[in-house]
Amino acid sequence: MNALSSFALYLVAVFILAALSNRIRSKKEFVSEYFLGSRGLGAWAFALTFAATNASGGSFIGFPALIYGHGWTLALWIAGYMAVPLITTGLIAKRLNHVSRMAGAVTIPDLLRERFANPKAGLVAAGVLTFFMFFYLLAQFKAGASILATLLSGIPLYDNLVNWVADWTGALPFLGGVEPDYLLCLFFFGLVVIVYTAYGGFRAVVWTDVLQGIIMVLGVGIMLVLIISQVGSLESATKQLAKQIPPENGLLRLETKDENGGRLVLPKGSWVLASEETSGRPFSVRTFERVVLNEENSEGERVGSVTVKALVFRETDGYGSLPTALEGADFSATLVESTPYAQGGGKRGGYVRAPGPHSTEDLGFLSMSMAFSFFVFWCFGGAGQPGNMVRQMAFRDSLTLKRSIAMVAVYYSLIYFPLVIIFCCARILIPGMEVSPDRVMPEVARHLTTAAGVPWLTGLIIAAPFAAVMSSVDSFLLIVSSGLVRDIYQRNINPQASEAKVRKLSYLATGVVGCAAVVAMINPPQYLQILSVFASGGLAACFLVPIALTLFWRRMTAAAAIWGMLAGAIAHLTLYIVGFLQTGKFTVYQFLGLQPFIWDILLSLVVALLVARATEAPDNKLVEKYFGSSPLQS
Amino acid sequence: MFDHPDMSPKTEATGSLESKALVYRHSLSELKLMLIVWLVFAAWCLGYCLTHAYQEIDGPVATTMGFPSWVFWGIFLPWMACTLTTIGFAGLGIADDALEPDKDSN
Repeated sequence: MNALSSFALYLVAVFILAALSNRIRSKKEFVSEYFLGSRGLGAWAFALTFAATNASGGSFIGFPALIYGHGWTLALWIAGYMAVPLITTGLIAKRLNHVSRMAGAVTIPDLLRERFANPKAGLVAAGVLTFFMFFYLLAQFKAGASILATLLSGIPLYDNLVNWVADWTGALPFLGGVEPDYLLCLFFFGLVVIVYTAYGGFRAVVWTDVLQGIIMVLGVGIMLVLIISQVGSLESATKQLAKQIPPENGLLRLETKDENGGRLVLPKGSWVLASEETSGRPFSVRTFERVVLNEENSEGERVGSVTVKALVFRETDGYGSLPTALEGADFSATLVESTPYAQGGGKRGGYVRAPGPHSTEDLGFLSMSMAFSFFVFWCFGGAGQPGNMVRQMAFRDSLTLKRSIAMVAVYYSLIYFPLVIIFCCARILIPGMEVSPDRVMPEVARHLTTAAGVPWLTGLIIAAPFAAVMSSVDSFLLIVSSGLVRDIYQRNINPQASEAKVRKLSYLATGVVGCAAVVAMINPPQYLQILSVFASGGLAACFLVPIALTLFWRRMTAAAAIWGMLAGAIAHLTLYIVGFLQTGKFTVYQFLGLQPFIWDILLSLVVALLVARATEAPDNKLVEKYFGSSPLQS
Repeated sequence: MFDHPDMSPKTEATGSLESKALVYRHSLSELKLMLIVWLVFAAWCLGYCLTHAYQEIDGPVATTMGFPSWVFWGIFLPWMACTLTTIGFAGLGIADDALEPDKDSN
């Protein structure tokens, strides 16, 4: 079994689940079933859809790359996840579920609108949610396409398809400049997710999340067993890691020895033996880019010398055995310059302590203030995500919630901490992956399974990141379409719309939003990963405080909810604008070194409390309806 | 493990003002307990790691069960304890309230 057949099996299973879900849905009331699965999620479904939606592509691509690049300090960075099952899954879940039942709400804007009997609260929530969620969705589409391209590269059938796409799109104005493998995977990924989400609705999303959640935990478990057996023991790996000195970032000059020779290609990531220009000492270096010599450039000149960025290994102690470096008979390699890491450079021990080595930041990867910030952010930022809140509205009963919290606790313990162990050990087995961090996960999977004599397992393991992205994209897609159909059209434009019309519009909205995301991502913006962080932080900043106060505080008013959401959004946007003005890049200003989320929710809280006190107390009937007692009785 | 502050009576009939008030009280006291649990583990993990993880290493790295020692005492151990606490809290600290039947969403 190879990666392609694993994917084929996986996709067949996804479509079977969507078809089954569609059959169930046809027997039930449409809106509640399509957007909320008729509030019938059992413990396994609730736990795994919750866990899988939270574990996006970042958990299996970005997180492993960070662990590989900075070492054990990532255990501290992710430590907040120990409390995520309790806080993110449980903090507001029972109350949210209870209030949404009383209100008959199937979306977050629905809930605010009914709780305050105020359409404006719902409309503002729908607007803010659609705005931030669409950015989030865009980032996940890009991640899905990139992961798929990475995972399938090297498979002959796929490579032939890529060549065909390159021939077909090369001359087209809008598509010609796009990498053909990315383009192919973007359309394929988009088609699969849009079809099964639109066709199956919430229940299909949840069932596929369960499948994807199982694939993820199996993948991590297999990798953990294989890597510990291959490094000898965790003790041995940690001691070797402690000996590693971070590589340096250098500039490598490659020159052809025969200017009339044939075209010479060094793929990205080639190991080369280079002599240092000043001392003449030889070092192993790894190229960051693909190099082509003896080829004419766009001006018709023959290129015989190229300078590229490279990773320089001055000390190889602790790195196991570096791959054999090329000593060119056809080219010469000279190390022009090299720069040690700003934090941890030239010293041992950086990978086994905080703040972790960093090539450019003097404070290292994780300052103390950021360690504190992330412990807060993982728990409370997660609790404020509308994608999680919608799931909390969908579980069947209190017993389901209790079982699910326990299951998510076990599940996350089996995923996140083992990932830190796996990719710290990976530094020993596969050195030099800093040149393509996004490939760390598939490369390690390939290496482990091949060395263990079970290459057929690669397909299962590398399906995990793909499953992680899919499980996030389908949820976000449904949230955006529910915002358009339920919160804007049905609630504000045509409250008398028939079920048949709402059904058609829901299919259409899911399809149109998905297609818009695909088209927007054909030429993705440069700072996409930052965009993803911006969107998830913005959602939590807008919704955590207003929703918590809406659920738990009798004195909360519609105006306070609206201004609480807007204050969170304004604080979030302001910190990004200040960051942009300071650096000229799309980056956030970290006031006092803290995550922006902390300032966002503080401002949201202060504004919501002040506005609630300044506005008229809510109607006693509403308070009685949702709290069982009026403010005077409390 | 935790004793729920208001475990009984368990809500059974839904829809009445009393049952709504009881679910609300349970949810609020559970929220407070969850925040206390979070504070305890945040204090343990961050307190230990901020004082031990940032020290320069002279000589061989200190390990416990294969982990750098600060990871074992400051992250692995609290993580396991937090997971067990979460499971215990889910079992004993959350009241088994009957939730309202779904109002017609249309």
